Amino acid sequence: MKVRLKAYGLLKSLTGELPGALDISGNTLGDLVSFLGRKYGQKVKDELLDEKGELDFSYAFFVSGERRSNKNAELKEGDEIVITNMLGGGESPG
Amino acid sequence: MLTRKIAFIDLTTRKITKQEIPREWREKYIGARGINMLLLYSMVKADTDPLGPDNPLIFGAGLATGVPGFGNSRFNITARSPDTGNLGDSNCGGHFGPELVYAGFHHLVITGKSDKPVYLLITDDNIQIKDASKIWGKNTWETQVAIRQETGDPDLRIAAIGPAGENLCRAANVMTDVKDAAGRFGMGAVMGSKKLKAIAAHGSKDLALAHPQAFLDYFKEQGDALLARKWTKAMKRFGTPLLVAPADTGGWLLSHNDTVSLGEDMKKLYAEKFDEHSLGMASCSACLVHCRARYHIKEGKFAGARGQGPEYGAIGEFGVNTAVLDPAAVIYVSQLCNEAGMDVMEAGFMMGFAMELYEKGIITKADLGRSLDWGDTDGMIALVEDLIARRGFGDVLADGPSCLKRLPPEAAKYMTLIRNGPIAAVGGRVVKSFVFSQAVSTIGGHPHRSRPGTDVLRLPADFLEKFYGGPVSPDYKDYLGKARMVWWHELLYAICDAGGFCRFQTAFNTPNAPAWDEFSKYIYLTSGMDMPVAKLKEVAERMWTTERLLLDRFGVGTREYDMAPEQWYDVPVPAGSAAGEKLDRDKWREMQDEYYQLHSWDKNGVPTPQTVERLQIKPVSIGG
Repeated sequence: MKVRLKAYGLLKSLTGELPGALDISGNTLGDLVSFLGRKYGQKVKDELLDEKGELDFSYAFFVSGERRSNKNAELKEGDEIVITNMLGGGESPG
Repeated sequence: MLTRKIAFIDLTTRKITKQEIPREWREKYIGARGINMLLLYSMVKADTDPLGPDNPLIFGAGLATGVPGFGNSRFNITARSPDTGNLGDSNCGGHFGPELVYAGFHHLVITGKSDKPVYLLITDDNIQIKDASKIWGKNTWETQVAIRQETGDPDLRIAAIGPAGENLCRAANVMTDVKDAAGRFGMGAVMGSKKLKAIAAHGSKDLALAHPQAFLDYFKEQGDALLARKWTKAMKRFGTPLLVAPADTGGWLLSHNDTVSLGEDMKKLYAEKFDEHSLGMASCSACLVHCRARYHIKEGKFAGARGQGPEYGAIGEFGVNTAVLDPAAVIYVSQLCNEAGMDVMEAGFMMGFAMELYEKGIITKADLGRSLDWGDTDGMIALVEDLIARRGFGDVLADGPSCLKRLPPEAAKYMTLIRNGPIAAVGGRVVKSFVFSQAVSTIGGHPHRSRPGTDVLRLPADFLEKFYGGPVSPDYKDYLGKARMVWWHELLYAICDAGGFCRFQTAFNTPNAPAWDEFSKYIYLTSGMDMPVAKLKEVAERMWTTERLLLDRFGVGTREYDMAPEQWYDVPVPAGSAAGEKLDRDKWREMQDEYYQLHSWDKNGVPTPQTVERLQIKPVSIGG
């Protein structure tokens, strides 16, 4: 299934420039993470999943503009997935 | 640590008095922001002029500042704010706080006004008032160099004001090192009003830790855990500019004076775009995280500019708010402010405000001497320079929120204030805990005293309920439990400040970080003070209630002031993933009720006599 992926923050520094369009097997966010693990190495999978194997809360996953926090969240052909570090924070302590 | 002293310095009479810090103050307020508030509560009056000699300027290092730990570099500067007219309190990192501690002092209370520019030179237990006539007029970098040269001591750490503080720009900062700022609401202007250019410290006094070996073992354990966390790795790599992407994708960071969603253009201001100019990261004293980028712009219009930062807040104001979509320009103008000792967030806020006034025709080319459209890089930089120098229309903006007195009445609706403090770059309609934390912040529109950074992580509801001790919605747009969340973080951060710890190393970005138990153990191992968690929470309640009593004294301590700007209730977010969001007044009132109840204040938000009695809040007599 073809989807588009945009990564920001630490993930991008682990993957380097992404091709944008990806052809993944499976149709969930978990499948996408597995695909990235195979393509870019285990460190990417370790980064995106927590110790229980769930999506790590320090990342935010958006599927065509909607925030998704479950590995079973479905993807469909042509979806744009954005993955970014999700730090709360606000601004520098001032 | 408990041997550090307090000094009272009267710049009018040049009298300096040093004394022990009473153990009772420690037990009740611990240090830094806590003891500063006890002192301000004891000294400031309802009619104290923020820029007059009677406004005490109080420096306070944390109890554990200068000891390796949870980013223990922090100190607070506290006074009545000339920017908001209310409570002023800035928390700052870097190296000055630790050096003040090494020189033998935790607190400095500066009153009066010198008849000529002076600086304080503080070395082991010794404080001298030195002539600063030759350095008055220099920027904050030049000032530090000049004092090190004049004294022949290259290891001095210096907190200084620049031209903004000298010119009494109402939001002038006190700056240390390259860009460490005691910022937001004008502590630099208070310093300028006293003709105090700088405080320089260098010390070699023993820290006298209570349980040194056990402390070292605990520090190693906590340090290893810190370095293993994912958010630490992210902060080490990018620093707070990393927050721009989640704020954008979450839809809460708006442009054009907080009215317009930028869409795809926001990506021009993502951390990666700043990273192109980065030389790598630096840190505050004894910190393992290193979250601050060092920049050097090598090419283009701003070639040659170098410095540290900008942090997320400066990017939000100078970049997003004004639609100046050039990271190099944001780096340049932030540095301009840092060198001048001007608050980047208020300066950026004022640029967005001025651009909207210009768009609406309330001010014109005749007022500005030029045009000022959205995204006008040159116009923005010129106006920031004018603000710092108090030239032309910049002189109006330098007055902070009081500038409205010098503008047509319709200008007021374009200035988003909370408790007379300009809001931070947050797009306050979306994340309910975030906006509520600003509205009840004791220093005005600033979220850092209680922002629950964990609110946007979508943690499971059962986890949140256990963590916060009551039901909290995992949806950051929802209201349920958000007052409780803010209250919980208020208390934790109060102890964070009193101890001298860094927000970023406590339960701020993640719940998996040091909090109550760790602070209690750390305080015991380093100072020997037995402060169980329940006692720490009582200290935190005492700090908040003392601050609330100060707000009451200033006439802004009741529920009608704990409100977001009107337009956040009436005008929805126009576009982006949070399109349509605005605040609900009824739900807001419910948050207020819950919040006051948690603090044991009355329905109007005023501490009850029973609460004041239970917390034993009373002024102390000042010996100076």
